[in-house]
Amino acid sequence: MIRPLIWKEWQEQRWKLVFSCLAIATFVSIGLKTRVMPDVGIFVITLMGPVLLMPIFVATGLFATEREDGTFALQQWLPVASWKVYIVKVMVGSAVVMVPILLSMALSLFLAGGREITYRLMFTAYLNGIAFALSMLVYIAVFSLKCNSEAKVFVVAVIIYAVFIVMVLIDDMFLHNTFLNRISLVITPWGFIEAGVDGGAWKSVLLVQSIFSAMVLVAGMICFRRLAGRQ
Amino acid sequence: MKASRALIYKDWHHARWFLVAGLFLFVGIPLLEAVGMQYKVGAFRTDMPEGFVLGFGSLFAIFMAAGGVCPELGNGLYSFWRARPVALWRWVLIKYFAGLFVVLLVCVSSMALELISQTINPLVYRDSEFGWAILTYHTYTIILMYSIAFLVSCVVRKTTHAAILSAAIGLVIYFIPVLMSALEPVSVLNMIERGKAPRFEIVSSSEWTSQAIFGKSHETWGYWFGSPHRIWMRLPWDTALIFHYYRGYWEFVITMLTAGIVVVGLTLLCLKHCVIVRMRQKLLAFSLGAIAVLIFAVGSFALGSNLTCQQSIELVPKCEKHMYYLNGASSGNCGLAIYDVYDREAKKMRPGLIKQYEIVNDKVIVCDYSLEDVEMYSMYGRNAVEYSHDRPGIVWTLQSRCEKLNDTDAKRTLWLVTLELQKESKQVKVLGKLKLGEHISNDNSTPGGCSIKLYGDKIYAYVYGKLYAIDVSNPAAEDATLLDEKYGGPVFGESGSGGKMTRTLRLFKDESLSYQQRVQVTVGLMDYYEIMTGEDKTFVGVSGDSIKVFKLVSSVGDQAAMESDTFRRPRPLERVMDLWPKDACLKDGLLYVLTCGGPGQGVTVFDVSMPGRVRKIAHYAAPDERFRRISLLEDGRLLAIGDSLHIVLPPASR
Repeated sequence: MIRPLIWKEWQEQRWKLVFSCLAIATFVSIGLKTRVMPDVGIFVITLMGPVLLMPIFVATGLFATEREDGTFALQQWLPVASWKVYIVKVMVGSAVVMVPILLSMALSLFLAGGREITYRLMFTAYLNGIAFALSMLVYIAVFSLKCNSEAKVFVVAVIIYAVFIVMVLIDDMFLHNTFLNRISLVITPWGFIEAGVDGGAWKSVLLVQSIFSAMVLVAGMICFRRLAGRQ
Repeated sequence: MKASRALIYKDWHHARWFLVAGLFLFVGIPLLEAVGMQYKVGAFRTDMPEGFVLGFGSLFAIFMAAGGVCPELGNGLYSFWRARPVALWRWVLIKYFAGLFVVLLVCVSSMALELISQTINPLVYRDSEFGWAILTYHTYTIILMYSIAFLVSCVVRKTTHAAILSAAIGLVIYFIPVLMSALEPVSVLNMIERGKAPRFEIVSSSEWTSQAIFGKSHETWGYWFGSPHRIWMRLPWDTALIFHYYRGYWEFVITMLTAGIVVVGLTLLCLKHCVIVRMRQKLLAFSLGAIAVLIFAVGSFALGSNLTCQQSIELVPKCEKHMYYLNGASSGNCGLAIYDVYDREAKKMRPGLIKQYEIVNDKVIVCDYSLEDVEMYSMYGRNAVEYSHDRPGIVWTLQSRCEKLNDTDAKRTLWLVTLELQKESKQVKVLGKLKLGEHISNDNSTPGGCSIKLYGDKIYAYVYGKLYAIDVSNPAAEDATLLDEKYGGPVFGESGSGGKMTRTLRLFKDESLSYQQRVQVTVGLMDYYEIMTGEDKTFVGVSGDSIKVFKLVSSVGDQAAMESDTFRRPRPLERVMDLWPKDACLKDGLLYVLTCGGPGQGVTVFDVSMPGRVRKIAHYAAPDERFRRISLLEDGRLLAIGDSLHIVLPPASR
């Protein structure tokens, strides 16, 4: 029964995957080929653009469209556990987030790897970016479970980003070189961007964020079950 | 008529809140600034409206169109309107003109406030040219944007989607013409440049007949009296009053208005046939993505690289922080670069290393020569080093030494120093040191305008107003012959009239050279990048911020006059990217210009074969490199030299 669920999600999300891959591939290849600005500029745009936008773009179509179209409750009637529906949605969403970023990484490494930025730096930055994007997808998807329109999901996403930005700003301005600084570094997904891969901080960020994401995911699963039952 | 009046009332009723909001933002806030300035510095003045109107004028037009149309066409209201006993064109046009009236009233009153305040309190360092340009050009773009937003709103009928889509189309209208040179005549951002606004000016009769007005915007901005880019008209009712406008002004205005009328016609057609686009997330995303990709792609191809780098060699390691390109010279397939190196004992930078390169059969051979044991002084200017592939072991340099005499005065002595590059020991030996002159000034400024030019067996040196010829057939220059004690410099004068700019060269007296050769040497002594082609006597001036193409038109005695009727200034986007010329070379009607400083740095190739039309045809972008010189190899390939050496293939065709 899982395969039809995956097929349904794929049907709904594939245009986003195609669109994102096309857009990102065009930006990366034109930018790095024509060298309109230093590689680092193109690299930041083509990494941060998808990493920041893809979670919002994908999350808007996960649950809100179902509620908008009135098909949210119908999923309860399917001969499959609701947690499986939920997990399939998140997994397909994660794949749609990851594939364009992986494509961007492959193109960047192929076109400009080692030219101005080393392969290692590019590779690790993209891995951090993927981890950040997946964390953000989980947060946005779960916190927007109750939203019944794409616009509301967008607003929720903006609020989540704003909260994290404020936390990072407070950390930068007031907690520099303190014990709280180390804690605040790992409690937001932004830690993936800030922490390098060489130090222990990256491992701490990965560990803490994995636990946080798993907890949020489980909470979302419970919430999803209740919401589906209520409809 | 009654129905029209009722419609006007209805639309006015709807639009007045936009008018109030627009007037508050576009007029009220600048007025507040002007009053604040009056209170603070005693001058009622505001510069805010130009930014507001340029930045948000079109956005306001979009909000007006989307906010005015969508609520009246959504939710089945369209059928209601069609059922009314009013012709379709009537209620559509009344709605259109009511909104347009509000938009224009807001934007024009905002600009009027700025222009009035600037007329009351003019500033010395800033005229009202920019404000006039916005008023006279951008107003028509706002009309077009409003028309497009009106059409989109009629077709999409959802306020948010219509506004987003119209804003995306606005990006295309504003930025694509900036990026594509073929669309420059309709680029509002290119048009809003200093000196392009139509103006009335009072000109005396004598000035008009002699055509000798050097006005407020003479050469600095590339416009001089009677510039070919402007049309001057004497107004029949007042002979002193002249109206002048940019040649492409009416083309721009007619294009914008025609496009606006076509869009309104399309709107009527769409409404008549009830054309509706169901804008959902997918369509909106693809539309916006397509527009973003279009702008990015056109921008990248306009500014990015389309030339191929065949080979690159690192001359200074990227991690080296204390080594900078100082000066250099090239000749044929070889040349050299002199680098400043940090002297740990003296704790300052000094010329410390020469890298000599030679390209043989696609192989680059680089030899390093140390200058550590050689006493070297400063080498300023583009023409301070000379080198010839006939004598690859010899380098002539113009060096200057500054001695402080007292608190205010400094003595600067200039030397022609001949250096020998010793292959075996990799050392540099001073072969000769010839004092050319000294100059006492009240500061320790650099010796501007001093230069040397190697021609045959002679070096011509222009030093503090004097011109010397030095025989270097024996490389160690021992004696300098004073050719002209009151030479004064290679450029005698510049003037402009009748749409042409004239520059006169001062030729020196040397009976051993022909007239043509003297012109060539004189041009070579110029401090800025003036290049001469061989047979058609074309000069290309790459100085300051523009490229000028001159033709040698006359020669009387020791003077040669060059005339230019064309120039090319960097486009707004090129200025944003800091593409300012630093070095140049010319071959077969192609001008290669090295641009440095900004993110778009590299080598740009211009076609100057037709003096009336300078065209950019190719660019080699190297944003991470620090190039300082370019030269052409014997086979036509391009060599860019700086912290690294790149061999670039020339453009395949024009």
